[in-house]
Amino acid sequence: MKLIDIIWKEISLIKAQKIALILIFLYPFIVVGLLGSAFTGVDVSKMGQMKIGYVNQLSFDSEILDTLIGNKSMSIVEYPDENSLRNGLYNKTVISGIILRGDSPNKQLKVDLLYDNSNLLSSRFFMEIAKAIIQKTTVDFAQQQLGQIWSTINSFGSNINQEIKNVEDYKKKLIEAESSLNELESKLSAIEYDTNDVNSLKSSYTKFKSEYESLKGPLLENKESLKKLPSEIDDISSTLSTMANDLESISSVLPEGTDKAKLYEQINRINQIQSTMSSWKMMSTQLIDLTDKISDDTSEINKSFSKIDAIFEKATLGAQSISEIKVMIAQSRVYKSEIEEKLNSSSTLLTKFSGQLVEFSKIDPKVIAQPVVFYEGKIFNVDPFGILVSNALVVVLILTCMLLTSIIFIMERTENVTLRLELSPSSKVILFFGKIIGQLIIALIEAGIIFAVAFAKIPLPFAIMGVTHLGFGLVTTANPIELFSAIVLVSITFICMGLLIASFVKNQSTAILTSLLVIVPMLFLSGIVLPLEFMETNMQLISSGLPMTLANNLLIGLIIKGLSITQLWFEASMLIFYCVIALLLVFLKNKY
Amino acid sequence: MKIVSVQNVSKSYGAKKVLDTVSFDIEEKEIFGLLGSNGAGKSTITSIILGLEKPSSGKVVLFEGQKVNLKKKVALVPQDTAFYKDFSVEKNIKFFASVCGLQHNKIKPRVDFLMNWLNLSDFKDAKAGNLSGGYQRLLNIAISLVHDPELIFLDEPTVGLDPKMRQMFWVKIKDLKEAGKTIIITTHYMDEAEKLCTKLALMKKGKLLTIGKPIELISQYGGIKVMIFNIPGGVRGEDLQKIKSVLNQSTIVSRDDLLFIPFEQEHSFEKVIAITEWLMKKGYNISSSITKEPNLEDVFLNITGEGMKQPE
Repeated sequence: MKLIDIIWKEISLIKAQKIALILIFLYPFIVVGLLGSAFTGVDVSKMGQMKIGYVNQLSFDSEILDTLIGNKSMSIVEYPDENSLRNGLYNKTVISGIILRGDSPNKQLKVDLLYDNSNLLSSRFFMEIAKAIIQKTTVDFAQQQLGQIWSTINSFGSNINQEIKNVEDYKKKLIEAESSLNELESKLSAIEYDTNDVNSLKSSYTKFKSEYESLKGPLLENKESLKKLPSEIDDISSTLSTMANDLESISSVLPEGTDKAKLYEQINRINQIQSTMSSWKMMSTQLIDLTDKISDDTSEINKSFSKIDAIFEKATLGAQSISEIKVMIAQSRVYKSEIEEKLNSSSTLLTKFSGQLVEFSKIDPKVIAQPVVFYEGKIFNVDPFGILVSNALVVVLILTCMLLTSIIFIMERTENVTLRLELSPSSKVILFFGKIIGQLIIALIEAGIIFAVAFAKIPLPFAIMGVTHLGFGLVTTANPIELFSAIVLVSITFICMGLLIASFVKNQSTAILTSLLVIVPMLFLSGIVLPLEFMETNMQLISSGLPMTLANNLLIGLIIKGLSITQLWFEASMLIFYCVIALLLVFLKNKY
Repeated sequence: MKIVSVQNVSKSYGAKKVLDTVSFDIEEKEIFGLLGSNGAGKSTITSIILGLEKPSSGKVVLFEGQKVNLKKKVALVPQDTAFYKDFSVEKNIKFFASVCGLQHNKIKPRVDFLMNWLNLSDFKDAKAGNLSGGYQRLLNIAISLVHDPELIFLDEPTVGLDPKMRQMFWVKIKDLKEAGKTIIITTHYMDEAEKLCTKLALMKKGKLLTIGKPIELISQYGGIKVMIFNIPGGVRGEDLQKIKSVLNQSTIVSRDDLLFIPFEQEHSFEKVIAITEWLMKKGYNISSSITKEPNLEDVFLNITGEGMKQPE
């Protein structure tokens, strides 16, 4: 029972602190919500698109570049040269930079990776992502190239095998065709005749045939008459002999002195005629024999005529066939040309393949094995520990200044000292400045301790757990006066925020809770714990305006980047703005 | 010379009126007592006089006719301690001396004087938070007076103090008066007000009921003497009625063991003696009897109808 009472007392005490109670219940929502926003980077797709700057120094393969540009995780920003890219990194326009130095896909791509080493995690992280993406892209590309080579070779292989077969077939066929053609040609040459001659022969033959036909009829018609001719010639001859005898008789009878020469001439003449008649008879006998023979041979001649006609008909057909064969031969020659052309193509293909192989042989196997060689470069020549110093400064200053100021302010109020100070003749301005400067001195001491540890490097007489030096020996190019001014500005901003918190809460516990409520989310959203780039774009925008982010950027700018405070005018102005607003609200609240 | 002149001051918080046309003047070297129960408006009028709050209407004039830095002339001794508990006694006083604008060479003598005057010298290096309640109150006064103000507000200065310390406080307050300071005291303690104050203002629910010197108020509003008998078991109803009828006085009251008989009539004393004898004859045992003179308590009671806090 006693324990229950004590437990209930504890709960009741918490319940009595209304603002604290609200904060206690708000904490889970706020912290989970803010951390959820801060950790959006766990899901890369929700992460703000990485802006990667690149310089394409040489005619780098546009295909790889297009692949890189097409990558949804990155937004590629082109810079004309390395200096512009470095400026982009300085101004945080891009998170990391790539300088492409390769000039052809056959050579290893040399990539300079530049990252902003003023941020311990983000730039380096995104550079690694960019590197991985480039590697993946280039390896993909190399694989693709290799795939293409293999595919080309395979394709060539199968095509060439087929081609070889084809060529062999073509060759055989060509040889066969060639010999056939030659044979055909020789045969044709052998039987080749002039069509005109055939035609002339045919017309002579036709003329002969028609003359024969025209002679044959009368010959056969006069055959009987002709058969009668020897006897008629004999008759005539006998007549003539009679006549000659008569004449001789007559001559003998004729007086001497009569010119009998003429008679004798006539008798001679009749003898000659008789002799001619004898030859005629012999000729007619021969003619009769011939006529008989012709008569006998007519059927044979007719048969021959038929045969000759058939031959002429065949000759006509043969001529047509020869023409057709010639066309065929011509066509074969066309085919041959085509085959030759194809063979030439095959030859070209093989030549191309051979050329391609030569080209492939030019590809350095290293390119395929490791298409990209990366070279890392930091844009700031500083020790990474410098980032930790900046971060540590901001965290310590916010905890010291904001918490202490709010706690002490509340303590003064709860102990009624505020009332007493308010009634004192001192002005509010003096009281405020006194308070701020007092807190500032504490903050500066804290900063001094951090710097002492960071900048000092005192050798130890002996190593303690491997530590040989005290301090980290950090080197910075920051201007000491500007660095001091920045720390003063950051401290005053946090002090004013502490005053603001104290103006709105009633007791120390609530002040602590409220301060933590401000500090913890800012810590996660300031880029100190998690890179800003892990967050969504809108959250990045909000985060970049938070006092802690601004303070961190300001100190990193001075310590790491070696910038002057005038170059960090935005951060400085925003911190002054926060100071003014906080002080204005504190004065309006009038709690002092 | 008028140090404080409150002229028709009213103050409202929204619809709630906490001060209603309050007017009074405080003369130089007076110890002015503001009396009233909780919610009477004492703190509000004090805040307005101190300039911590502005009146809704009316005005307050301090140090009439003088051009002075009021904050250098006025001091508040708050009811609760108001100093840095982690600082030593001396450091606290020195700090506030500096804040109040004392010249560097005058700080130490002033601090030493205050520590001596308020018996704090023995504790000068002690942490303020470690002092006893009484000494913390003394340190509170020391800090408030560090700039030697002319007008001093004492808010319930002796609440929670033991009688010895109260007496000491009263002495110190009187010292201040002797030193020519004008003092305004808000208190619940009538005896304190009666003993210390030269002028009193009675307030109730934001209104000023009356103002005057204590003796004037007592004589005006205090009423009459009252004879109080302590009779164990109390007086029976019929006997009380008989006493009332004999004395013809309805204001006679019997409360528990006590019987109150006001001296309202002539020869009241003789009549009371006779009643005493009658009571004894009736068998009542009168263990004690006192005669109570009218005081500020009565004044307050009579004017406001409310009782006030008794000193511990």
